[in-house]
Amino acid sequence: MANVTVAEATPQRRILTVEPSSLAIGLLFIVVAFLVLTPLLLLLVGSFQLARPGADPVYGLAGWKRAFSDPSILEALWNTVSLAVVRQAIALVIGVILAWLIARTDLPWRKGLEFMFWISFFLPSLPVALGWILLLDGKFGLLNQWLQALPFVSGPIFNIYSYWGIVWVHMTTSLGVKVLLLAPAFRNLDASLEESARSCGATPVMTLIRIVVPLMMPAILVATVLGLIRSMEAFEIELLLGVPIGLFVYSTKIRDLVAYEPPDYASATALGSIFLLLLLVMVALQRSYLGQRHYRTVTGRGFGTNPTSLGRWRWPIFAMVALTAFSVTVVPLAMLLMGTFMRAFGYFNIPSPWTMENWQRVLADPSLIRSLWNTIFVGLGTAVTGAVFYSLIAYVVVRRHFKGKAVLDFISWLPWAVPGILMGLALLWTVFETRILLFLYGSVHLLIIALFIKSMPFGVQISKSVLVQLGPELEEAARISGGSWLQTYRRVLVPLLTPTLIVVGLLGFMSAARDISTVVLLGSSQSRTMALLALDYAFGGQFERGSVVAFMTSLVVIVIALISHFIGGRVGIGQR
Amino acid sequence: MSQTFLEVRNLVKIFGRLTAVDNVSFKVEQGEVVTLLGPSGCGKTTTLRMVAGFEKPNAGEVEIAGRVVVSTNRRIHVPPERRDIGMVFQSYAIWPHMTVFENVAFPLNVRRANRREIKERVEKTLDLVGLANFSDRPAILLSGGQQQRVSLARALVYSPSILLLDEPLSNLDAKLREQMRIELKRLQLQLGFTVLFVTHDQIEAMSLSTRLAVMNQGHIEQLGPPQEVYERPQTPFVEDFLGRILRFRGTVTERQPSYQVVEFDGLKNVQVRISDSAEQADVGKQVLVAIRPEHVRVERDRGPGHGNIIPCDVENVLHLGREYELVLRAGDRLCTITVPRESASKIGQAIGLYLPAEYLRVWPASPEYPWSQEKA
Repeated sequence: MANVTVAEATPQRRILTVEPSSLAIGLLFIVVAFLVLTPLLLLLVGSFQLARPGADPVYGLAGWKRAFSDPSILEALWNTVSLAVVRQAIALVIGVILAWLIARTDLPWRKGLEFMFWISFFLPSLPVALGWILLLDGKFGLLNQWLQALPFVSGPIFNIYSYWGIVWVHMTTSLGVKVLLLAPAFRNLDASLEESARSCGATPVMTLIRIVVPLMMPAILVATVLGLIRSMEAFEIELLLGVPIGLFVYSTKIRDLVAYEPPDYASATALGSIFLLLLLVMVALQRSYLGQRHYRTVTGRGFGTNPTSLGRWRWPIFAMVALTAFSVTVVPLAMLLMGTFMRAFGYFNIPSPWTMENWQRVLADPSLIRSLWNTIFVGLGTAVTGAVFYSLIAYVVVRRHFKGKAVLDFISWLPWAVPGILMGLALLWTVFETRILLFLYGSVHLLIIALFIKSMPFGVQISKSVLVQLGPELEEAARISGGSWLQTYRRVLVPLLTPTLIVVGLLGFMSAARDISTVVLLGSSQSRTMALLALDYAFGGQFERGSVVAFMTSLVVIVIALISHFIGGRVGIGQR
Repeated sequence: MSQTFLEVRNLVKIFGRLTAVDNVSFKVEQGEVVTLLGPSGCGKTTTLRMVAGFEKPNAGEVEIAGRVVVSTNRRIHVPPERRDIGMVFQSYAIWPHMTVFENVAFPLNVRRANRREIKERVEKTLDLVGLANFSDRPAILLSGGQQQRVSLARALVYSPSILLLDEPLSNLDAKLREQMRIELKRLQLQLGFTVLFVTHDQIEAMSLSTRLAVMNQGHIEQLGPPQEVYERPQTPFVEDFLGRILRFRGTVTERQPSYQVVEFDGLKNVQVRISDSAEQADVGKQVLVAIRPEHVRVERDRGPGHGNIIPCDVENVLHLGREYELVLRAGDRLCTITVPRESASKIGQAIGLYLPAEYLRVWPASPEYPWSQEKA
């Protein structure tokens, strides 16, 4: 922010050409910093504030004391950590094997399989959870019913309302992320490093264990830490499957503390602060690790990376991978779709179990119409503000030279470390505490703000990577020909960036359609999106209607994912 | 009887619509260095990779040390790790997560040698390649040349039946390349290992090979000792690919059992006698006459009466340091030759270019050799 102040002596012309740019950057900086930092700081402050929001503040440590002494909170803390670690451990082992099979072997249909895992990454958790409930519910789960028909089985085998049920449903997205992150890394590995091991006597398995996995360690570690951080996001699966049996994690605990009268904001914000600090430490560690070491495993030359032959195991392995891929995509969605046509969710042996009523009722329900409009409004709002602001931030960070640029970069990336539920809590608290912003409470605008902040890191990152690829010469040429930086941005960069902006916008829209944890504390019955409506139905026990809405959100998300994949593929996003 | 260590029989490899390797056969005897030489895309690397086991041929057989490792007819395809080969890759393929010692010890580890033996052999091999003091160095911290030595040590440490070298020197800079070339030759002479060597660099091929196979478009054009291939190329491609060459187009005017006479295009009444009897063409036929630049001589005195002298004008003179490069115009065509300092001429000077009859070679000017049509 070097030249913000206007020197009085500068001639008129200078003010017109130079100052607006610095002023705009300064403004951008302030807006972004305000949006990201205020809620997080107030969250910390809030943990020491004991009075109800709106009343005169009373400061004290009671919130923190409760957070560290209440056995139910401590249990939620422990559950969070244990679930995250167990999930990551399982997903990592399977994910590494899957990524290797997809990227380095002659597995049949590996492109299609990779695509399915890619889809699974985008699938919202709620529909997946609903689909699995139909299969694995302790009482009416289809799989349980089938297994009980066997002579030697008595009583249900699986119960999805359990610790392992939560782990199981989470595999959908956990595996997707691993494959998404690790397959490209495996693909970029110089094939001659593997071949040299083979040529001097190592079998394929030995090569995998002794050469490939150690070489992939940096990527695997990054994926693990990333997965651990991401698993703090988890909310709706735990809400749906854990809360009924009294199994809380910190995110559902925060909701519990805030949602019921009397709300205990001090404990909730203290609990949130603990995780906020924990995550910041983890993220800092990951960043410094990423910064200091990575092997130069890509040498550019590659005699067409020849896939390792799986030999006679090829088809058996394919069957297992395909089964996995189907289990994380088609199986839950197909079950969900089936559920939408059931008179009573999960009851297959009542007279005439099938019906169209759920669809008819839901489509005629004013609350669905309302949430549909909310989704579109919030989606468009997030998409447009996101596309404009993210690309501007990226542009300033990549191209402009000013002192605060690293700070802006950091701030724009900070929300990445903040789980949705904490962002929601922080914003809610900000709205209550600042009072002047109280008018936002219960409005769709608050949802837009929340999602705008939440999607910022990813949107800025995509825009940055494309800008870096574009090279500065194009703009320099425009500047030489006499364009100001704003003109250059508008007339040269925006047209070049249009596909990227569309992708960024689409992803913003998608977050509005699929995100629950960020907005769950902010949405009222007037402002809730479809995802929130589905959650309200499902958590309220109306699985039939919930599954209809959840299925619709899944469709919207998949369609958007496919469109952005198509556009993104053409401009080289995700092919870095 | 010398023992055949590697035999390749009728290998064929097809990528999509391209026949990358087209019925290639050759043998490598014990202690020999056989080189596959050719431009990129000629199939040499694919052939090597089929010998190593990284590519499956569409047809053919490979036998290493008396054992059939590939046979499409008998459905045999032994995986690379069980072929007892050593291989050095163009990219060195040094494992960055291991030290120098660990890299070289790896082949012995997977063979479950005992620790003492591993230590002994690794140290001996590292000593051989001149890296005795680098044992504990992380491999990633080595220079390109040192990585290449580690790579070589790793391929030699378990005394494989045959060493496969895939363009091992091409990633090094010119000076290092020369040094490594000499070193490789010394090691090969000292240890007597058998090598199949792939390169596109003719200096490496000429200086390292016992025998040399020039490959083009998937097949072997000529296979023989380097000297023989260089001196008596059997196809225009080989002649063209090995060393520089001057080419003239002309028409055969006289044909005798021991010689023929060719009149050059664009040079009325300039005829040369050619004593090459390998390629004889009928009178009136268009031919290509080729000679290596080192065999021509500049004659100040261009008077008639001397045989095989082409009148030329010096178009340009370039000083190269030790020698001079002359750009000569003969009729409507230009040719470039390098001459020692004392033969240097001035721009515009008229000279004679003497083409000794015994070094001239005749090729049919057929469309089969696209470069014979060019107007160079």
